[in-house]
Amino acid sequence: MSLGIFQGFKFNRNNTILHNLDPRAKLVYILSVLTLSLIFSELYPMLILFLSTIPLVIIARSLNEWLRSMRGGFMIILMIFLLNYFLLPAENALSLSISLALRFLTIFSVFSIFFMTTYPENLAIALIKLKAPYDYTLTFTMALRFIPTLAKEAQTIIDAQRSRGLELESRNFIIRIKRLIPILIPLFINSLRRASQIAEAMESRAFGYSSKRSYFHELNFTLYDILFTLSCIILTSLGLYIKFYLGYSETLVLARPWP
Amino acid sequence: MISKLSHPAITFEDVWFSYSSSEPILRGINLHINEGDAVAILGENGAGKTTLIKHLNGLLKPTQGNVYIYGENTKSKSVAELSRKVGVIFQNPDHQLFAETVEEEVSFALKNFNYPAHVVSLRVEKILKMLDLWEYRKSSPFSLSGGERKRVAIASILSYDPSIIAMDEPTVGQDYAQKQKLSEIIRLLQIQGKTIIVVTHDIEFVCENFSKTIILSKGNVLAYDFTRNILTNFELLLKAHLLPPQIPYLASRFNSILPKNVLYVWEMRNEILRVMGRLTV
Repeated sequence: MSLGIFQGFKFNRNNTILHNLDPRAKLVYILSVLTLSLIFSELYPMLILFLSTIPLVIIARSLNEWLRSMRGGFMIILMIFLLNYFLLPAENALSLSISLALRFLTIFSVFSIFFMTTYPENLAIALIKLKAPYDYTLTFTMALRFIPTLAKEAQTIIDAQRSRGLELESRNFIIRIKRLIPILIPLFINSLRRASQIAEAMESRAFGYSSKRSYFHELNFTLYDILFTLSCIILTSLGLYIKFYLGYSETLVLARPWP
Repeated sequence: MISKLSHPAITFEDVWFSYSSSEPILRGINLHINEGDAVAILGENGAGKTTLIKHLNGLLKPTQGNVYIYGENTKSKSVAELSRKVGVIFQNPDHQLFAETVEEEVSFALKNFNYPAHVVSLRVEKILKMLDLWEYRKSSPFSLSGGERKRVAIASILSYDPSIIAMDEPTVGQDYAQKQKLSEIIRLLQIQGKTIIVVTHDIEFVCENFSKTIILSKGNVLAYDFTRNILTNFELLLKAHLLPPQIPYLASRFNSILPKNVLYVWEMRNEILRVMGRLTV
């Protein structure tokens, strides 16, 4: 079972400029890249946008994890490319399907940067500061927190079932899916059981006692955060200006060999 | 048969193991376990006990060195092939129960190993009766108590009759009656000539059920000897951060009048009677 795709979405404890940025500044960055990648569907802007994320991965000293999850997501990217390439009724099908695959890669990459450099606790505080309801924030951060636990448990279950002669490898796809049942059922049941145990443990530590809470960590928006946020906003505005005011469209057309 | 006799059931030959890019967990383990032995593995948390038994059916393969099961290297065998000979019972039954009924759960391994239907039903009946689970055969495993679920997990391995049985912490969370039941099962398996390896923290349980004991510490075999020699050697136990069992501990407090290697209650009783007899005479 390949869990490599999650490597690039796990917080790593490096101490870099990106790690120390305020999660809110990084959220602005995600929004900017999302906006830009959605307004453009041309090849060059998408390529620039995608390449612009790589220096940040290097600054965050997380290139290995990033590459591993890119490798994990390769099948999805290939599917996006092939489906668009064969099914798009457009003249520039090749360049368009490459840009669509790049769009996915870009979004994948920024989220990966965000999660690799943002401590889940800080993300929760940032969301609360942005007036998100506490219960939802907690659900979200707990879900992130339990991914490694779940992966470990899945491995134990796989070991236990293999010890009873279960062979996971098979050439037949249907049989392979069928053989996942003895793994998925214990995994689900244990997750549900754990969820209720955690709820009980939290309630017995006075969770929900009052609607006002105090926080151990405090976030402060530093000069770096302001500069980073400003540059994101300026670059996004520039993109919007080029697209809508100058009416950017691509002259380069890469077509399919058939109409 | 001859090859079976000429090889020990289990051989570890300078086994090193580490998960990728981390500290080694096993550091040069050498072990020979003979067929029919009942061996307990003791050791503090993180000593490598569970990692060791995962090597028996090839779930883990040594990063250096070799593990042989009846003289066959585990590196050249699949987990399914090895599991046919080595049954590993995991600590938490909830990590394996998935079927709708106890009967189906217990027959899972038998079906994986391709036994014909009539053999499956015979084996399931035999093992469920042996473990007092026959009345639950149509119930869902999830509706059973913790101890019963544990027994279902044990039954699901014993059903296909492996000749080596490894258990990871079988006594955790079991009440006294369940533990007695477990002792009974182990004794029965020993009569059948099975090789039994049990990882546990329960030192009294070791005292009662196992003739030999291995102490693991920091990925090494600290000692491998008769249980009596190990559990009465306090220096060794201290080194492995283990507490001595009560009877040897009591004997040590009467150092001058009782022998050091008393292990069982009945031995203690005899010794006390002997000493009292000497006093009254």
